[in-house]
Amino acid sequence: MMVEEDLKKLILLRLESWPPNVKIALGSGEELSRDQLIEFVKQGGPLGEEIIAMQLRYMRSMKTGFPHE
Amino acid sequence: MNKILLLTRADHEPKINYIYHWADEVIEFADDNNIAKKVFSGKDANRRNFEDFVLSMKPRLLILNGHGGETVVGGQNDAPILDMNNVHVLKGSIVYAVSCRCAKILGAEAVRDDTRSSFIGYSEKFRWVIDPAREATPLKDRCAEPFRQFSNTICISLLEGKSAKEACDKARQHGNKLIRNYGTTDTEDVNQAIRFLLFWDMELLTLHGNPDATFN
Repeated sequence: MMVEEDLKKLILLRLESWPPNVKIALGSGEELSRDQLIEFVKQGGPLGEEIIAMQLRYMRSMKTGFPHE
Repeated sequence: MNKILLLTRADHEPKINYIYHWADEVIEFADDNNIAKKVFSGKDANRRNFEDFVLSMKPRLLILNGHGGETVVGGQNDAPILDMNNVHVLKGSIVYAVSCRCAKILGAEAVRDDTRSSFIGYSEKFRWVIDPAREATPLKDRCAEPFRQFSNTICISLLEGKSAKEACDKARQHGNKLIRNYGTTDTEDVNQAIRFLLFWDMELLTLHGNPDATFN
């Protein structure tokens, strides 16, 4: 449980390093700000969990090499 | 099936307008290479035009740009042009849908019991970074450019005659190259967001059906 909390903090730190005005467009027509992404991670829920899972895969790929290389 | 490209693109709101303009390069490539094509843009991107053309001309390659869901790809104003009720018209086709989540159920259904077809799409929401100051001129948005390149690599590869799997592999390879490029020129914090979201899209890219299907 402690490890999960540490990972969440690490991912939050990574997201907080993005510029505050960054805008993320979704193909569904919505858009998200950096702070909204951070809030989703803090609150949990499906999107928060999806962001955490994808960040972990991304960080692992940075270490082991990206797929399809 | 006929060696014809059918491309649909909606333009009814600012985000979908990005994808609309990304298709310019694909249309230009088809023109430059004398590839027969039909483009339904804006209000012409509707179900009636789509079905009439597919049933009468049987295009081998379809590139669909619009909002989507697990069982639908939309046209103008998000009115469905393809869903579970007319997905059977795709038999024998190669489809690339730049559309959220449609690979999850619709894509699988499109190729069911059909060894000739393939369907490329995204299993979750397709995402990209935008510069709000460039929203009115999507092709000048530097933040969105790597996402345009990634998606268009699939389109151009298919038009070049590469197989569905080769097109996906080439796009992912180009995506990896872009991630590295945006990593070594990290003069702007926004590059961190670009790298991560590009990786995310690459992970969500899904191919159903025949991986060896080609436009030739």
